[in-house]
Amino acid sequence: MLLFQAALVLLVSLTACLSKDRDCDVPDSYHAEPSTSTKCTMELNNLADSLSGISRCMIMSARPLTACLSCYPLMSDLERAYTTIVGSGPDQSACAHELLDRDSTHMMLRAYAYYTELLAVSRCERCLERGTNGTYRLKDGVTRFMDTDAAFRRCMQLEFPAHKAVNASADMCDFCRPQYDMEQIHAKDIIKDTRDWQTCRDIIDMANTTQYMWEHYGCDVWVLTLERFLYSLIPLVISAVLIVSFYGYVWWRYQRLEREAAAREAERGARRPSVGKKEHLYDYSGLRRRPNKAAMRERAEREEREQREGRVEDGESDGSEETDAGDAGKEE
Amino acid sequence: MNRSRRYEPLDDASQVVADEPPGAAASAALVQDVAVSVNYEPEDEELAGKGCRPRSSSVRRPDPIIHEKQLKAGHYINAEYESLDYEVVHSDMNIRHQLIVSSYGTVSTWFSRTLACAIIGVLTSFCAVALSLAIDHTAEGKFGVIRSYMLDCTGWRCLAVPFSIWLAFNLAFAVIAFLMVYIEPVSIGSGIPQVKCYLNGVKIPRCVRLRTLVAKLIGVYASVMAGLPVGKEGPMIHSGAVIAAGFSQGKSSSLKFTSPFFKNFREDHEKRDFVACGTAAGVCAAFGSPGGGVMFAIEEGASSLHQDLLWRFLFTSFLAFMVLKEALTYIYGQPGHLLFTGLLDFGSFGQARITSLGYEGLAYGLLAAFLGLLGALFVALNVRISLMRRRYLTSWPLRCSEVLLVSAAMVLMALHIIMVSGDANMYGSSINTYIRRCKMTPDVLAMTDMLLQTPEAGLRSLLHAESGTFPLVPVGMLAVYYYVMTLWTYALPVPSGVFIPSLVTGAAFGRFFAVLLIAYLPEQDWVDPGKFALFGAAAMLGGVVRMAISLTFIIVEAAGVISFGPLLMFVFIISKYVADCFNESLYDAHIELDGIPLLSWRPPPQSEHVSITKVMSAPVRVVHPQMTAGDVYDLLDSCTHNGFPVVDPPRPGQKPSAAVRPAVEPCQSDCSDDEARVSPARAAETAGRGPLPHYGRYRGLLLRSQLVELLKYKVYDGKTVLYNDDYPRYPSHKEVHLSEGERHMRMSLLPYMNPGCMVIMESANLPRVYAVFRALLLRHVPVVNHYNQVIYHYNQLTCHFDQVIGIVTRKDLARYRAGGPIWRRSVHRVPVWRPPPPPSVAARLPLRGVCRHTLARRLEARAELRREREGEAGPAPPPEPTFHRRSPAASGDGDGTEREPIVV
Repeated sequence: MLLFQAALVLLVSLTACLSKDRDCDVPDSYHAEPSTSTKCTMELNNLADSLSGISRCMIMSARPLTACLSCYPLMSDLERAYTTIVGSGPDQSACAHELLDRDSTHMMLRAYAYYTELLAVSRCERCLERGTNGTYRLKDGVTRFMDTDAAFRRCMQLEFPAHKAVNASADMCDFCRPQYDMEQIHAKDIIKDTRDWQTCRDIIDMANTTQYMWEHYGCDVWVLTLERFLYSLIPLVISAVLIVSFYGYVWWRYQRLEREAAAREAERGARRPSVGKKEHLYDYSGLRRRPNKAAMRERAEREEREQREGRVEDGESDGSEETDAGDAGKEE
Repeated sequence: MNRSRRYEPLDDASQVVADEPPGAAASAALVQDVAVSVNYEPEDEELAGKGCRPRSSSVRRPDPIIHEKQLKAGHYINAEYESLDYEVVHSDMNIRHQLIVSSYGTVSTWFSRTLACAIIGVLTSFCAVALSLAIDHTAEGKFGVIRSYMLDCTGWRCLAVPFSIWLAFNLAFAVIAFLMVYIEPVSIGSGIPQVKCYLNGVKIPRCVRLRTLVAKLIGVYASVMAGLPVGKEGPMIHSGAVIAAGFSQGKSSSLKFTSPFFKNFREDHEKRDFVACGTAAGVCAAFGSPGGGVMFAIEEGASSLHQDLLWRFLFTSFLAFMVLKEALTYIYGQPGHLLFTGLLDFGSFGQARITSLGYEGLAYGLLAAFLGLLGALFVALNVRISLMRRRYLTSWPLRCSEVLLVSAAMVLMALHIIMVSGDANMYGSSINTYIRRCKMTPDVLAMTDMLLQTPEAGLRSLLHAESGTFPLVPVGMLAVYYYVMTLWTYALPVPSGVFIPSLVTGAAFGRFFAVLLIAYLPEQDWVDPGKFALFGAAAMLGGVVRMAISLTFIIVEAAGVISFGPLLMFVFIISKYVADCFNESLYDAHIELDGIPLLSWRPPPQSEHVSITKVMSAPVRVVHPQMTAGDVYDLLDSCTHNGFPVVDPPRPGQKPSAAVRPAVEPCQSDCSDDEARVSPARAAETAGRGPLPHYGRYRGLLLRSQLVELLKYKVYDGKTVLYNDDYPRYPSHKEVHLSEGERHMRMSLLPYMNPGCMVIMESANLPRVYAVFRALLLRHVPVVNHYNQVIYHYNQLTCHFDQVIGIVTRKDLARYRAGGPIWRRSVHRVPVWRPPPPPSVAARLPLRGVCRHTLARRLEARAELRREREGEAGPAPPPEPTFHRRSPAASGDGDGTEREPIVV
């Protein structure tokens, strides 16, 4: 009876729910006129400010690309604002349901996804390390590289006394080479693995920009000069020498073997011409095996034993055949 | 001479020598150390003296359509290759065997087949995974060391250190790769020609053995690591075939292991189906393309198709595909994601689409035509190089030296490109990272990263590098160098595939073409270097291997962009048709070069006028339903035939010698086809005895292996069921010992013969027989007359057996080939080459009843043996294959006296 009553109540509730034409999973309060609470509005405001700040920073750092290096102080604020709304942990507010459960498109999530995509493209995490309080800071190697790079640029643009130089480019190269070499050393320290970069895109681009600048002033520019071209021919010459030597030897050996074979045949009495002897030799067909030395040795021993025992392998019939053939030849 | 102990097909052999046959002049000259032509022909006067019409007045004229090929390298059929017995023998005993098998039930056979296919798919995938991992890890270590030295390099002079290390690596691995071929010579090359021959009925010795598999896998790993321009995809296909051939039989002859499983599959036709499945699995594992695997097996391999077999292809390919993906994802720590493809990963083309054909299609068409030409040139040049290699590089140390030379040249080529291009290092070459140029060191180049990786990774760089990564000159140099090096490398004595180097070469040419277009048409946004590289790779591969259908599937599946399919087909069609105008595919060219009697898909054109009597083999050897064991043994001992028609015995009162034995030279394995002809004197003598129309009424066919098995198991009652316990390595008859008493035991052969064997009428022509032979993949087709008699004709006008009706074999048909470029394509009849027996064997063979040159050879062998025994001469030189070819002038201008191959 009790079970029947419970089923009846459930049926009535379900019918009532469906009759209202609404989603029964959603609390009643949500179906009232939506109004965002002040607290959540403030959190949204914080998130929007952080996002716009870092977006502006990254866009302004596009050229030269220093998105990670310039904007890393803003990252922690943004992440904190986002975590407050939707993240887990003690800082989480109750705004997640209020802000995210009503709409099909969540601009907040999409904007944050855009930000994370920017970070992924720039690979900022490879230049930064996280502190204890959630803030970011540059890695030591990156800091050193930036310092040396800044020193090099300062040398190129400010410190070089251009009015004193007769040949500006050459003098500048000599003047700033210590800074440039130092910058290169630190760059190579950071970029260790060429297959999988160990640093962020900013560093790569900064190193490239420095390199372009260095070459722009005519320092260490790679030009295919006649000397370089002649040196580049060394591998080709070595290859050619090796190839010609090898195939020349092969040809010489073949001719020598041919001559020796002809001489041997002449010595033995040529009974058949050696036309096309080796034309069809193909050792990779699987048809021929290299001689089994053990079997050959065994066979030689057997033949020797048989010979020692005085046995004649050719029977009488074979001997008579040979005689017949020989006679036939003589008759002819 | 005890004639009761030796099968002697010539009842008048002794009289031939005594009557001084015309051939005796040659024999005498040979004995007297007088140099004579091996193509000795009796003079017309000699013929006239015997009452025969001179050959010059022969009725038959040279065939105006079919051209006789001279015997030279690359234009012959090697008689040493045997065929496989794909025809099912429905003898009485086999039917009994089948009844026993059927008691297990059809379901059990079906389950066994499915299980065997599953094992093949899984093991092929495991092999592919192991090979891929080994190559990836070793390459990472090798190139990592080289890169680390190269990054510290600030001038081109210091490049000597990393390049020396690179060279040392390459040479070490090249030696290993060569050693694998030294250990197992069949493991040379890609293995696809061998598998293709196997599936089409030609037995390539040791092609599907365990040692071949091991040598292939280790060898291709070492070849790739040696820096040679080779790929592992072709060898992977061969490996799949070997795995299928081994594990589908439930036994291993190499390991001396026999299991009770899969016992019913120990037949050639069953094994062929499994090998085809293994081929499909190999393609699938190599390219990650199950559809391509099925199409490859259909296009290149399977000669006998039916729906059930197609399903097995699909099942094996699918299983191999899934296991490969699962294994790779598990190994790389992402189980269940199915991210990885096969050994060759083209990388993702993202959202790339081709929406219109316009100028872009025209450019792809031009590229395909150009690369088709290059493909044809590749085949032609590679054949020439292979011929030179076989002629001059006859010792193993020289062959090894050539491998080392190529490997060293690859390093020097890379060094040259790097020093010339002088661009920049490229970081992040992997497609999973970003490809960017980073000018960290002025003398380390953009091309370096392309070269400092495996060919597969290099291909991915060419396909996916951003526009501008590769400048015009370096990429052009790379294309030309890679083309030349691939040309030089293929057919080197190392396991190597040609898929990847062709793809890389084509991709480099495609990219070069794109860079050129960008330079001259900078405003055309449809010029995408990556797409050009892809279509260039496809066109080059199509021009070299000409497998348009399966390659379309393979590349579409490997690239993962289905919308490229139609344009890929377009590119393949153009490159294939352009290349086909000049020559055949690389694989077919090498098959022809090896003298393998592989039948093409269709009979040679314009051969309708060729009667089957001109094609068939002669003389045929026959057996009777009742024979003594000694006669059977002597028959097997006297020839190398593999098929023996069973004919009725002679009627009572009929002279056996006149009725059943033709007056032709006995078949010995050292007779060339031109020698296997009757001497006119003997023919005239035989003809004088009256008509000898036939061997007897045809009853069926017996195989040599069956006769040997009967002798081995001493089956004299005709009631014992024989199982294929010795398959696939049947013993030789010489391993069977017969006592004197057993020699007189009578054997009943009728229960073991194949009564339903295909026969052909003597009035059939070549295309008809070719079509039947090719469709059913037969090994022998006896030729019978209208009375179902295996007969022969004798032309009394010319005293030549120009029409000996006997048996048609694969080699008889494979001699007829269509070849040459399209503007002078014609049908050729190529000669058959047979190796002489070694002198030690030839010295012991009888001298009577043999052809002239065989006689001379044996006399020489005996003299050699005698000299050795007497200590007057040093060790005999190794046997050398010698060819005897009658010159056209001496052959009577093609008067129809050309003898056909003997070995059946």
